Amino acid sequence: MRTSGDRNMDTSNRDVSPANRVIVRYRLSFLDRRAPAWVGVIGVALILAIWQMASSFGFISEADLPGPASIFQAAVSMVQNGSLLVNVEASLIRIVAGYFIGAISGILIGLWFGFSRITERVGMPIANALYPIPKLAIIPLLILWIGAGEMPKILVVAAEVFFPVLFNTYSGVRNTDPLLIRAAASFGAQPLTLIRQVILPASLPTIFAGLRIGAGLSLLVLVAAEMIGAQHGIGAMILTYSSLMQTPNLMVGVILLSILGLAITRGLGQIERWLLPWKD
Amino acid sequence: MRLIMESVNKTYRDKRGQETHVLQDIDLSVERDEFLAIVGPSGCGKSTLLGMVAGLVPLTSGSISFALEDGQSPHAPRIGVVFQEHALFPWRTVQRNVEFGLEMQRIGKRERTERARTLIDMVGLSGFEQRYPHQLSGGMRQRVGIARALAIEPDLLLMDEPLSALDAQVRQLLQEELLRIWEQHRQKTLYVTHNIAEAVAMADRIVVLSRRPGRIRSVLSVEIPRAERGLPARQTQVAEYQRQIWDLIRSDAEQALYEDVRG
Repeated sequence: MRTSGDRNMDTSNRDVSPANRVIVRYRLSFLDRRAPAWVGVIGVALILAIWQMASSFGFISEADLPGPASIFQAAVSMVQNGSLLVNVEASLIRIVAGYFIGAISGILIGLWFGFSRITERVGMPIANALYPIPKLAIIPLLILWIGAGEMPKILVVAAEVFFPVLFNTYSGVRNTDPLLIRAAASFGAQPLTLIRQVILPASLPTIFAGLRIGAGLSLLVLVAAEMIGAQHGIGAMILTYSSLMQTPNLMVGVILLSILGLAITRGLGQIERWLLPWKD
Repeated sequence: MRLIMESVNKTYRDKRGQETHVLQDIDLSVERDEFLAIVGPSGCGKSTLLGMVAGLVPLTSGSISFALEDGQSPHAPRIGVVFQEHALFPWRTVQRNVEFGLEMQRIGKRERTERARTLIDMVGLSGFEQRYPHQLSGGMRQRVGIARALAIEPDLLLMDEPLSALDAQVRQLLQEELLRIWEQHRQKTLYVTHNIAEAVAMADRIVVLSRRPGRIRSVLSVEIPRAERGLPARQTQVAEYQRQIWDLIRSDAEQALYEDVRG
């Protein structure tokens, strides 16, 4: 026990000279990636400016890649003449309707597979066999069955969303932590209560992962379906402007898809945070 | 209600048809107000035994029952289980986790809230009612687990290594707290642990199990008043109990060490 000086510190090494020391250095500084937030904004603005200049000075032809300014102009005129709204509306109706049908049937059938061994045994091979079929390939069949029009496009989106949601719901149910099931049972939870109070909430995060995968796929198949045969819709619009060589208008469509995709992802994230406040 | 286990046997059969006798002829009863600890090396089937008492694991043969006291009307015994990995529902807040057992008993909202509050207060978590388990430390989670088990005013409290997942310091603190809470409730308790010191510090009686098959090797009564077991003057006596139990378990524990490697 030291009786004087710094009682809380060991000072006995203070007299070792710097010449007799080897300093320990932090070895991982190269992994510390630091950048202030404004770098992102400035960087993006800079790239847009370079792009605009490249096209203003004629380095890139307007017909190949129009500058941001002409794309913006095209967007304004498309909003003014109403063509943008018509196409966006057509796409939104299809994707929302298709997504809901696919997601809800995927969740319901996924739950059924998860709870019933018989359904699982019969249904899983069928689901596994149908899943790899590119969903666009069934459009002709759907048209044959229910005629052309909106339904085939909505159903093909639904089919695309259905499978990831189905598989994720199923695996969520199957992978519920058995300890939680035991805990609930030890307090006397009856089977139905157990499903409602334990298995369903425990599967929700996995179900949401399926919903997110489905969202990405739904946009993909929507645009493809609209390019195959539709009068309106963002996909059809892009195709039309391409054949008219109106590249700025075409670019508006492409950017719209990016915005739509971002909005869907953000929206789902928001719903997830709201429904699953307990996830860390 | 007294808990009675009569010639309980448990045999597991694996995929190759290979039979493992996990528990053999367990005869045991837990009296009113008794804190009974079951100690044994890993693989002695102590958790299996506790699972069978909770109705979560089927018996191979024998019976487990509750003896009604005079004038008691028969009702399904309420069993409160505290799990090693706490087993809280991550989507429920602290308050709603503690209420879970009460919900299962269809107790009304107002009474549920009130009883849960009292228990949360008792385990020292007032102010944390609206937190989710992932926002709590390991020690706090286990307090919630204890509150959840006690909230239903159980006829029997089962604890399956409730302190084993905690770090050494938190474990020591929670052990003291568990004893304080237990003294308030004096609920008949079956406590499973592989920690000998824990058992000697807490239990009235200690059942030592052997392994493969798990048989009752010895039953010891700890004849030191619970409140005095931490006192310096009692340490020789406490150490003597610990040594006695360790002598009973040692060779089994060594065997378990090598068998676990082989899987």
